[in-house]
Amino acid sequence: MKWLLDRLLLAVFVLTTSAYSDHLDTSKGSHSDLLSQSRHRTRSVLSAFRDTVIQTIWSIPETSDPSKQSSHRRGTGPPSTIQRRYAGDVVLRFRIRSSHEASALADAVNTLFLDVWEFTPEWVDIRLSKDVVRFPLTSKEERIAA
Amino acid sequence: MHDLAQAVAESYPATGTTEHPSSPRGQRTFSPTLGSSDEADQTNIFFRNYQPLSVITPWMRLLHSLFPTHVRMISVGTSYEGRDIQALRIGVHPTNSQVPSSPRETIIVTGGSHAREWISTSTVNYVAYSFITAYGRNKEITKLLEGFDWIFIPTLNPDGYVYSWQTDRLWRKNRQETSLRFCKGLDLDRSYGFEWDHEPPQDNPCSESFSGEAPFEGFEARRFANWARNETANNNVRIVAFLDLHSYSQQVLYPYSYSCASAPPTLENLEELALGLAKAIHVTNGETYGVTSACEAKVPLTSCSEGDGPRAWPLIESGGGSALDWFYHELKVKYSFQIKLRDTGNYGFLLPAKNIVPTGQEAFSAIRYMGDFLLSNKGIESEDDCIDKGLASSEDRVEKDMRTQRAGSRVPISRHPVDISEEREASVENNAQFELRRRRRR
Repeated sequence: MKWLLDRLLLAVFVLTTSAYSDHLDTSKGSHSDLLSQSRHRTRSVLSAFRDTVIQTIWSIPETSDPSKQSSHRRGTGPPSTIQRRYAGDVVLRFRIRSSHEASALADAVNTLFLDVWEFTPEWVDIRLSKDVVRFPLTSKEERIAA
Repeated sequence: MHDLAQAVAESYPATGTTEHPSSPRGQRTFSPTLGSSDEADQTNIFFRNYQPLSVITPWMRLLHSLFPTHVRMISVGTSYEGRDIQALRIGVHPTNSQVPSSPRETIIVTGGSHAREWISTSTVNYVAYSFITAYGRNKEITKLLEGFDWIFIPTLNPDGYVYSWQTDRLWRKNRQETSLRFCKGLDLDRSYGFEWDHEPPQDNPCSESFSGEAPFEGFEARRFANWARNETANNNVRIVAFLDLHSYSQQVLYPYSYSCASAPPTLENLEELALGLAKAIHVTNGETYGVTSACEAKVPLTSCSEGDGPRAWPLIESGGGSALDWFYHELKVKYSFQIKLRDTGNYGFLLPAKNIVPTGQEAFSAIRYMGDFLLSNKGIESEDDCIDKGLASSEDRVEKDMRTQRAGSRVPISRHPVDISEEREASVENNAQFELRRRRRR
């Protein structure tokens, strides 16, 4: 199992380098990146409003400041149920350039029962736990911040 | 996706105002530009957000009672947890009870086989609504509703859809019990009986594409397939087209999905209509939808430069047991397509609600195009090909040739047996006259 994880890590590390660079090139709009930290601040108004409603629907006790007069209040984030389920996940796009990569990915998906969102002959979108891909991600973030 | 939890939370609807990311709430009343708020107000409230099943079902019932002339709400089966799989049957039958009617040509449009693909459900609703409200106002749509019965099934997987609203937004399968207590659900689109396969990982209940222990173990798939078969065999229905809406990746896919090794017999017709659908979509909103065989959408092929020529790479996921293949092969539905809707990966399944109407418009254009295609002589009227069992006799072929020469409106010969000779004399040169004559008869 560990060697598979290692294999997956290696595949991820190799592929996300190329994947991310490709993704940057082909980004069409503001929400196109799968990996970058973007525009949290400008969406907070809407997010805050929606969060409040979702908290009401799911009867989640409100932990943030309840005042609604300020339109620039920062959002509290998604409700805890959603946070619990998805906060540790990330969706990555892997570009497939050779049969070796394709078979490595297929093996990993089959063995680990990964949630494959969508796939075409060129790319595969997979939802992974951040823990699995922490190392390649942090190195990329450092590179972006630099 | 940089923040999956945030994206999931935002995919649920917020009550109150529709989104105006640039303007805070307070400013809208006094804004000098009234354009954006007007635009929002004109959107039907139902399509401003994704709707849960508890809203969709009464909405369908409402349409059924508001438009009794051409809308009926039917059930095409029940789900594992006991919910009805509701559908809208839209169409107008020219009734002449003295003459036995030929099989009613029917087009089926389904969505929501995979629970998390909310855009497919909303798109089916949008297209159904567009057809319903355009009847009587738009000549082309009226003709389509007279020519065909349209069955719109917003979600084939109501249990999964409800589950994706209440518990797990990214749930894909149905909610059926499996051999493993903690891994529920089958992938409905791998569960149909044609070329059903059991290759790993589809043999494991914890896989997202678990296909069951046997073909048609998927409850909803079995019920829906039985319904379709029953309609065809007993209810004087002939299914002429089947559209399965999914998301995402923006593609129009034609059979077969289980393997690239066998080509569908009517490949050229399928390709032609698929390209037409993609073009109709592109003309509407500018979105590009790829057109390919459902098997090629899964299997990367090597380029010839790698030495041996095109060779299939290992599959990420097998496509056996899909509804697309089953309808095409088993029910002999000549035009079966799977359309993968927006987007191409920016949001994936968590598509923001503002895409509902544009996607619906695109799909509506495509489906209208398909209806027109089928009404004209490029579709069902033309010489049938090898997927029909039994060759047509020579007289039938001559009759069919005569029919293909009549461009425009379509009058099944069996419905008006007395008028056949008149129609044959009104040849293709006199289309306008024929139209007038036909109107007078009515």
